[in-house]
Amino acid sequence: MVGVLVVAACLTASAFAQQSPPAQPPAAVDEFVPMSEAAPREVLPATPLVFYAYGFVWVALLGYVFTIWRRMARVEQDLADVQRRLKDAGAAR
Amino acid sequence: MQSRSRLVPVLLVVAAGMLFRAPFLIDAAPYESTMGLIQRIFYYHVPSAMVMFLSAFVCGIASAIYLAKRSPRADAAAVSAAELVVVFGLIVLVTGPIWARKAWGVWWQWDARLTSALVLWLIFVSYLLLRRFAGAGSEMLAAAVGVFGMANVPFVYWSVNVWRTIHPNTNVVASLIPEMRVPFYWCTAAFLLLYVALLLTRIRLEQSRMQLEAAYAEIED
Repeated sequence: MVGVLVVAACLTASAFAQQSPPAQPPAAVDEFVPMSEAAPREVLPATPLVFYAYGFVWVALLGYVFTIWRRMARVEQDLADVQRRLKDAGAAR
Repeated sequence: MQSRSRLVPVLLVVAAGMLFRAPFLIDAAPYESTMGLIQRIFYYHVPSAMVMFLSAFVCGIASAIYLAKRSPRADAAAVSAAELVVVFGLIVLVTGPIWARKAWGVWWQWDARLTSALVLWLIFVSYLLLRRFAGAGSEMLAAAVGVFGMANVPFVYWSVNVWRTIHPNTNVVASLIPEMRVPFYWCTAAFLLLYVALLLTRIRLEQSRMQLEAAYAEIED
């Protein structure tokens, strides 16, 4: 009987020890904070982003036009060389 | 022949003039109520997307003609249009996230429109990689990829109407007020003229390259 009481007391003590303290209700808001004093939120300026976007469009298009112009110049030069070689080969025969 | 050689410079000059005028028209348009200044990216972003879709169709149709008839002209048109899908698609995929960063707070969302547009762009990048690195005979395989890419365009376009996405749906353009419609269609016309000029120039480059290959083959004979 004493043993049962001791075990019961031990179990009860451990249950009290593991029990977490009761959740505290959130503190009631006791004041309103005006906007000027609030923590700064992220403010992303739109103007640079618009410039980056339009700038990228121009860079991409002008860059592509430049690559076409360079490739065209190279191909036309190679074509002129090959046609000259064919002409020379034809003349040699 | 002379009129064709003059067409491209005329188109380029007109398109460049329209694109220079565009910022003034865009500046005169009213601000959008929730997005403000950042919404101005719309006037270049959407026309670029429209040109990307158009070029995908051109590539797909030219690829189908090449598969059916083995026409060198169709092949030249297909590879030229595929390159322009990649260029204008890159413009869409860069200007869109810049706009999204301000409007949505994130650079990117894996939603239906954005993801499917990226996949479409990657399909045409793979077309160009095939043409560049797959060697002789890659034209046929690339043409099949071009047709597949064209078939994706309706899915990309309708994705915003079918699935729940963060991207604005297709009703936005139709519901534009006149003050926004004018700069939008001005930019669209400018981009279309520019596209035609670039496509014709790129086709001419491709045809010159084919002539060069034929000339090399003749030399070897």
